[in-house]
Amino acid sequence: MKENIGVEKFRELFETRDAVTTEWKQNSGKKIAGCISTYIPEEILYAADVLPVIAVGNTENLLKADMYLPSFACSYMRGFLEKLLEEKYIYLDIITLPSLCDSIWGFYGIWTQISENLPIYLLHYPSAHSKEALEYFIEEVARFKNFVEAFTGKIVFERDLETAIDVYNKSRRLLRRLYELKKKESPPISGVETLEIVLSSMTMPKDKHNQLLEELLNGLAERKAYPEGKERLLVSGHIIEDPSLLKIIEETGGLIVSDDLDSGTRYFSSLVNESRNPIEAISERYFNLPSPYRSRFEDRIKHHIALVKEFQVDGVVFLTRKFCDPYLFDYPILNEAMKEEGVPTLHIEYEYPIAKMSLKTRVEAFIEMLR
Amino acid sequence: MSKPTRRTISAAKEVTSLILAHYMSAVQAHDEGRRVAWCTAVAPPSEILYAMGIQPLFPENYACVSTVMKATQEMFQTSEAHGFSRDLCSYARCVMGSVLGSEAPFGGMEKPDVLITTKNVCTPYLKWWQSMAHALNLPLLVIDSPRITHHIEEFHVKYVANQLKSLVKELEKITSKKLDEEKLKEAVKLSNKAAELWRKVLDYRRFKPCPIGVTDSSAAMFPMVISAGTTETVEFYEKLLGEVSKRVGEGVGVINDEKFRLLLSGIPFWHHLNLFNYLEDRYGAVFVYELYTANWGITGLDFAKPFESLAYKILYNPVNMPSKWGEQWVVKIVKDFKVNGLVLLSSRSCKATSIGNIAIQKFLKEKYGTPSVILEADHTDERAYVDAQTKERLDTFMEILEAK
Repeated sequence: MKENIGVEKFRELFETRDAVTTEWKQNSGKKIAGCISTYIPEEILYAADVLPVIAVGNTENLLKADMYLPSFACSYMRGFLEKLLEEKYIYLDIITLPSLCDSIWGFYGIWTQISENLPIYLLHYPSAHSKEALEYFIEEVARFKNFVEAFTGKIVFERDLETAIDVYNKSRRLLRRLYELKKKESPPISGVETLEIVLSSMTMPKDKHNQLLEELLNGLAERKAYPEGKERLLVSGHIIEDPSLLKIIEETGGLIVSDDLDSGTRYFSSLVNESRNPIEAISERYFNLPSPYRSRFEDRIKHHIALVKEFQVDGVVFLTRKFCDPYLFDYPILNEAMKEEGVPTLHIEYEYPIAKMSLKTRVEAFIEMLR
Repeated sequence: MSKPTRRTISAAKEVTSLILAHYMSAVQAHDEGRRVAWCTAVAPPSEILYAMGIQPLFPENYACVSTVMKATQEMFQTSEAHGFSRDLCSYARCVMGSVLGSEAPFGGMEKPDVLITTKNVCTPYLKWWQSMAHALNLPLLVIDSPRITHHIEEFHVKYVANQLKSLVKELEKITSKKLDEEKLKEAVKLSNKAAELWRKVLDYRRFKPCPIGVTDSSAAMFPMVISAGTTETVEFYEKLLGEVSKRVGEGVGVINDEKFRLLLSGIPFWHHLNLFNYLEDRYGAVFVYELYTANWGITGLDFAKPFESLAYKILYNPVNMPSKWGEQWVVKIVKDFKVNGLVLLSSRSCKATSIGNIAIQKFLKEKYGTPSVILEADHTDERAYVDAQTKERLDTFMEILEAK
């Protein structure tokens, strides 16, 4: 009898992601794109037979990156640069990034100067919400498609895009199903485990990941649940590339039942409309993502309140990457809104390597307070 | 070594009273039933606003003025107490303090009726403006500006120009008045005229001795920032240009014994402007160009196409342009202005102007042999500045230049 696949499989896939990707490349002979954060319309790349891999750079030993980027650039971009300079990203054929913040733009400028053989493409993300801004973004996504076609030499037909949308929406639906389980009084899965599942979906082919995730979901219902009575937490922040950050939080007794993270609900909660013109539908999905980079405060507040209610959250932990302007600007307003809702909050600004002891102490005190 | 005499430009001295008048003009606008807008300061659509009788104010300028007046500490404390991190843009933290109720110069800026951002420089250009609009419960109008990765293309210009046209429609609703296109053309014409004059002033600094130094040029750029598109601004720069060209004719420089010519990158540390005097007095080193002040000298605006011209101006600023373009620009200035070295100001809270400094320093040294020094502090927050350490770095740098 075939044994059910366990959550450990996804941790393993994430931890060995470079080997997994390298092997895929050798077997398929196809190209790989490194995507900065989760705002590049991956469907376009996938439709052109390019494997999109969300960048997860180094979280320690940022030495080579210091030759180009200052300490006040965000650790996500510094970590990515470090991994590039260490030549651990040799499987990448291109870097694609969205124009979301000053650290990304700074990185872009530096990379265009120092790289001789790894091209880079910047996709513009409008800051406005107007009709003009959406129209421009649709044109921008179409330009991106043209670029990818020229880059790969493959013409992307509508049916290719539709297939990509199918695969990506399926992934999103499966991840939603996974999060549904977290709404239970005693969820069968922890925050660290779900993070590892989401992260592994970002760094390997989606169709393969879908198969594995489906298998997991079919077996998860039988899995022993976490005991009731744990403090139910929501974490709010950027992409979290190091699961140990959440592990420290859960080790103190809380259980992360939901999140507003790029490596969480923001990655899968909204689908691409399947009944529309693919380029327009893809553009609209990404244009409307609730993110600190371009969303209005009221939209982010609404999104947080909805998550708190749906997942019966006891407390919110804002995990802000140090020097990350969009999140740092949103924090005071989101925090105030949570207080008005009567939801206790904790704010942690983190930097790699993680200051484990102080993080633990602060989370412990917060959990105490919730009890 | 005898202390050289520093000659200040008398036109630059008028700036203080112009700034006072500027902040008062917003109060006056409200008294007259006109509207006030808080705008981002790099290529703001001032021409449109002045043509519509709307008085713009510039929070960045206000933060700078507050810093020069040494009035920022309580403002910082207030914004920090509200949860704004010390790593955030210090201009933003300063003004947010005032918005959130701190004591502030002139009793705070006159409250606006609308906020406008051109989002052509940095993340705070959106997030700070969102924060102010939220705190004041006022509408925010966003002009979205794409980053330029290669060249400014027609589709970029069209996009921004169309948004400016929509901006006018929104402002027409707010003022209940139609824009008079002739007035707009006139404002663009005046704005271009002032920029041309300012550009000429900057160009005169090619001469040795350099006729105007960094202290005066950092002050003299203000009319360009706060009131592009008015006759008063044109008059100011005519006077300034007259004075500067006279100096060049007579061979008179900022200081008597000009030994070194420097280029400044980044936003001046407004709390310690005397740092520039230190270089002049001790080393005979004058700044002959600032990338910062040059930001406000975009010329070539065609008044017959006001929206496209303003769109072009919004897009064409060094922070928004590709870094390769920036490098060529700097290299050309170094050559044309006979620059001996660069001083790169790194402000921890200003990624937009500082994030590339380490790389620029490396490229300039390796490709062109041009020396530079990076000074780390903050443009507004004095707490991040250590005077002795900063001067020590400058001393080491000047020794290198002296040895060359």
